[in-house]
Amino acid sequence: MIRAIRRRGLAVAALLLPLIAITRLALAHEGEDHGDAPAPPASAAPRAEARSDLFEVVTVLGPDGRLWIYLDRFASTAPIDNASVQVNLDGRELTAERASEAVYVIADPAFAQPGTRDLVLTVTAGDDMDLLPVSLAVLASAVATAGSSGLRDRAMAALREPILWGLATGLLLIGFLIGRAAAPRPLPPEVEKNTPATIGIRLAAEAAPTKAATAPPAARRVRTSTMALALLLGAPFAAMAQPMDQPRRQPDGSVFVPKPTQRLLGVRTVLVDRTEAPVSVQLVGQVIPDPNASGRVQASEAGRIEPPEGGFPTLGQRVARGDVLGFVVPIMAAQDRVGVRANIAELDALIVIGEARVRRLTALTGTVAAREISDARADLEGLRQRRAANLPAVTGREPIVAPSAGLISVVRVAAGQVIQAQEPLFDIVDPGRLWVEAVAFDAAAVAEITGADAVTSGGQRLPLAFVGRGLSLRQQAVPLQFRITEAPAGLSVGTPVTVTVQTPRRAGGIVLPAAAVVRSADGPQVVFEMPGAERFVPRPVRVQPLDGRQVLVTAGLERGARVVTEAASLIAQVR
Amino acid sequence: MKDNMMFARRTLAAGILAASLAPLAAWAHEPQRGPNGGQKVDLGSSHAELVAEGNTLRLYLFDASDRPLPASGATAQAVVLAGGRQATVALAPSRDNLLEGQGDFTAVRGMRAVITLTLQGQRPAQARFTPMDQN
Repeated sequence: MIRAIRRRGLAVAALLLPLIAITRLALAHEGEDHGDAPAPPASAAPRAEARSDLFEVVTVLGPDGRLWIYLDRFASTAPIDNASVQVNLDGRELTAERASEAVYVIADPAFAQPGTRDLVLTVTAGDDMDLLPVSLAVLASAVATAGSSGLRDRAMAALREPILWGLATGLLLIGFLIGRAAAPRPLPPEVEKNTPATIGIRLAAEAAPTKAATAPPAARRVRTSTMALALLLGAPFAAMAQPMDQPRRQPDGSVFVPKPTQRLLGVRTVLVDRTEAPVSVQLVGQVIPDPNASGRVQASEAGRIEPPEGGFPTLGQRVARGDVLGFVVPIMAAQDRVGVRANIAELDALIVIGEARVRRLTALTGTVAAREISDARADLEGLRQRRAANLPAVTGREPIVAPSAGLISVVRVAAGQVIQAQEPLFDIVDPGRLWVEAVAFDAAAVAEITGADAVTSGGQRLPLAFVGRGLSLRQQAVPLQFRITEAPAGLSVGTPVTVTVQTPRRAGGIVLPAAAVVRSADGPQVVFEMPGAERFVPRPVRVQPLDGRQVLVTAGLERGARVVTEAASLIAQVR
Repeated sequence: MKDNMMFARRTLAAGILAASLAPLAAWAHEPQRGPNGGQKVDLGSSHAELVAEGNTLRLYLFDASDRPLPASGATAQAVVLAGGRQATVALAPSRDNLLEGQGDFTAVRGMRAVITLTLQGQRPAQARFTPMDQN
């Protein structure tokens, strides 16, 4: 069943792909016109674009009848600010003013005439100079409504969807009539005469100022509200001096993103070239502490835990090597304790005898051999040490010291807790020295490792240095260990990471930042090619990971294509 | 067995993908070398070849099938950017399919020119040339 569906899907794809290719071919050779891009949406403002190997320019005829010029670098799509833009219009030289960052504007009555305007832009940005020819087709309809983009937009919307528009207008009228009918007081006759429901908002707004002074309060309220409504509708269009067109997906699957929107999204591109890159393998791993810079504190014997002065160390507390973390008071059976006590008493007696002997011998210095005196002293010292060693068993307690410096990462003790020998009490981790342990199921793929790095699920990149691999399989996989060369603050032991291991094998392809590849709504991975200044075409690609930041596109892209590297995911969301 | 089938499908898919993308390579309209040693690009509905030499611009006209197009009745104007200076050159028909004009510029590498060509009875068309950059 599933196989059948899959086969059918494959067949459909196989049929569709050549179709796409044919349409593309047809588009490319449509007459001798070299606009290889389909026209922008009909609702967009009149626009034209030109490009050279240095610059890319988009000119848009704004709703205010001025020509807006958006200047970018061609390869990177980075906006160029503070450039000088001269426009040659029918033999006249005009200078464009800088309107905002990397946006230039030019006003000329010629733009108000319908027809095609041929412009030559001379762009000077730093040391770069270039000529860019632009042909701007000014439609009669665009000219007729220039200056009131709101009206034009709404008229267009109404034209596109007359039913919806009519319905909305009808509802508005009905609401207005009901409101008027339900008004508690009848309006004075002059108002009823002048503002019947059929008169438009504009008329009402114009009529309002002349009569507002004399009209009764109810009428004034009506007028104020209509004026407010007119302002509300008009304000956004008045404020929007720049032509703001909506980004949208074109019927051919490409995405139209106007320049102002591109600037908002921060779109950047790169001209791709084929290179060779090392093949890499992705593994699953997790962060572990460096065994040489971390410690596990265990009790050496059974006992009761007692806190040190100042209490037990807390989570995250920094401890130095040798710090006392707590005490273990040994638990002894009564018989054992008696034995130790007896031993101590015996040692005490021997010490007394020994001290007396040393005193006697030292008094006779010169008559007894020096060897005898030193022997006696050594005996006494040995007895004292034996006593000291026995004493803690009954009276003393064993201090627990930190075996290494670092942060306390696990605390498993509570005061008074009785613990068994070898029970882990604290874990100490040096946050600056962490490792990553990964498992490779294909041992051959990681036989040689030239570099590695890891990415956490949060997208944090960890540069790694290979430490070693185990020769015994763990759950059918080869364990590999890496040192994190620059451990970021806040990285926890046990964090799952994706390790990318570079091998000496090389593969040809196009290196792109990982952010350039997005998953399309249909599933396959795509990159967005930018064949025109405002047109983005999704291209399905085959991708191999390179490291945490870059990927290798092995199929689906040709060299020389301009590909979006930043904001690709935002373009993919345009519907 | 299943793996084999999957592999076969993947190969098929890759093949189809490659086939569908192949025309892309031929898609771009790269400027070509013209018969007179200049740069030939598409200008409006026809083709035009621009040769720059010293302070002279020569524009050869061809139709869409690359047959010479009579230049009589055509006018052309060129905006030239060479050596950091901009100049305007008017081109006049000289013979056969040739328009010629001289201006205040020197043809150097990196020079750019935008030609506005008006054929008889047609609306003007523009094209950008980099005549010295293609050798």
